[in-house]
Amino acid sequence: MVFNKRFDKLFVEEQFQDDVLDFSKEKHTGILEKYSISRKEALYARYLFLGLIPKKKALAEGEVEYARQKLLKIISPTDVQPKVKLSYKKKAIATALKVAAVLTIPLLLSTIYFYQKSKEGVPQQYALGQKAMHYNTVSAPLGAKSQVILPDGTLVWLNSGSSISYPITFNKKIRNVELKGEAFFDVVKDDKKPMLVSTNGLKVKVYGTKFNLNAFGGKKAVKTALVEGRVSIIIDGNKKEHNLKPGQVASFSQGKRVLEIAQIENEDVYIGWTIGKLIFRGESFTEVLDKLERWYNVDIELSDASLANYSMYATFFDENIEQVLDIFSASIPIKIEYPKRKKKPDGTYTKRKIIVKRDMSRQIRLN
Amino acid sequence: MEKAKVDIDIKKEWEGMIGGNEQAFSEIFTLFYSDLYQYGIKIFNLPDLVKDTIQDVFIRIWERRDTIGDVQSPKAYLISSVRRKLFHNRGARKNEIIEGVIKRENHENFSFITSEFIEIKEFSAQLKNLLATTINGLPERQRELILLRFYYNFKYKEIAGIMEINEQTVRNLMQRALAKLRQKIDRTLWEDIDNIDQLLLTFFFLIKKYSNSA
Repeated sequence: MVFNKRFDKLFVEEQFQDDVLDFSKEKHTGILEKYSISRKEALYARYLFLGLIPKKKALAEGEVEYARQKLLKIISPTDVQPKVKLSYKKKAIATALKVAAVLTIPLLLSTIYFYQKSKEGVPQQYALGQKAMHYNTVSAPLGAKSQVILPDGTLVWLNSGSSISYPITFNKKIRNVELKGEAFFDVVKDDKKPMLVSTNGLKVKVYGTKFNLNAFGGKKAVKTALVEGRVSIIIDGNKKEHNLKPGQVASFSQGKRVLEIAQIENEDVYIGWTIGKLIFRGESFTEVLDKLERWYNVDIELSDASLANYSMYATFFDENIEQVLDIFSASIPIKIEYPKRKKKPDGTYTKRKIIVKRDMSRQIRLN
Repeated sequence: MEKAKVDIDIKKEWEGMIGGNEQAFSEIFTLFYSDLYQYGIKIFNLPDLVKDTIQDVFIRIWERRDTIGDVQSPKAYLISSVRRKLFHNRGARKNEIIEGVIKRENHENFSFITSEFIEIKEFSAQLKNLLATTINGLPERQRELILLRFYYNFKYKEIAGIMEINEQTVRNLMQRALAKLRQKIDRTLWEDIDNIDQLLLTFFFLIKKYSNSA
């Protein structure tokens, strides 16, 4: 059929657009009569309009809630108490509700345990020049992320397997915080009272800004990525403050004791995890597996060391561990085994284990 | 039926918010955040800026709730506020972007990618590609109009208010956009329609057969 000029006027009519988009079996004949068009013409119009509707892109879970909390904090700052919110995935919530009753008691015990522990184990640097103070320690368990609001209103996203300690009230001169692992900070601005985040071998001094700090693992470099504002890095045993500009990332490796500052190419690499994106840009396969272990709370065994150095590029969003490994196995010669979990004598199960092997059938023969 | 009910609830929440109810304010925010974000990101592909702008708009609404008059459609009112603020901010932030402080790819406003249309399973890959390229080839205002009309389901009158042009201009823009689209995709769409028609007929036939025998 040819491009039909008769439709020009009709197609612009709001009522016509609504009618054909609402084209169901019952209303079918009525619409055809109303506009004296054929069935096929009606379908043509309907699919033309349908084709103009872009797909709904869902925001990451938790993002709306995060924005809402932030807004409420601004319009009524007194209302929001410092609180800890765990953001699990939906599935996890469903399971969690089922076992909630069972969990209550162990949870209570562990709270007491952590409280005791945090009281005993006040890190040395806090104690300097301060009176007896209470500290909170919040951790994000493996496989989950946490969001913490510090006493000054600063928002902290804790990545899986990370923890943060902070005093219940900050002192007058400085906001001292200690981080283990990785966190994204949205620091409330206060020029008179900078925040000092201590971690593996360095401190980050902040007045008010957004940045990501990754201090996972002893050997690997501590990475500070600045999104907004200004921070400076102070290396332990050194007085000099190294300034960072927005869009820069500073890597400090303990071993070499070198601070490298580079331009950020893709911001999501550093902060994507806060909205549930898992991103790899040239990391070695072992680094990838390390990250996956924390992200999904599993143990992954790499049975063939020769696989360790493949560099990986990938972005995941909402995929489960099986899907992620499947995608990797499409690009590198691996096969994955999922052994059954073992039941321990006390009735609980061991942590889930996954074995990654070289897929010999996909070996490329060189001669 | 169901749609009307939702509308009433929004109106009720909106009035509650105007009356100073923080809970209602928070509901309105949660309800529209995603829509506003999608729209903002199409104007200006800078997530942080869009989020901050939405926040600014809501703070302003809350602070000035006494002076906000009768609002026919809260959704249109919000979209239009975010749009105005974003276009305003775009001017203000231009230098910053040129300097590359916020590093993002050059993004044309209201452009679409093919994968955004994969919703319609019946369409051939060829048609999907053709649709995306044709829509992206339209002038910016026509693309915005299509988004407002078919994604957000606004009436021409509301669109006129949001885009700050008169209703006749909206209709003219729509006519031009649709004519252009049909000129480009007419043949491919008819081919697909033939297939879809076959499919639907078979489907109806099966249903009929099934319901008769049951």
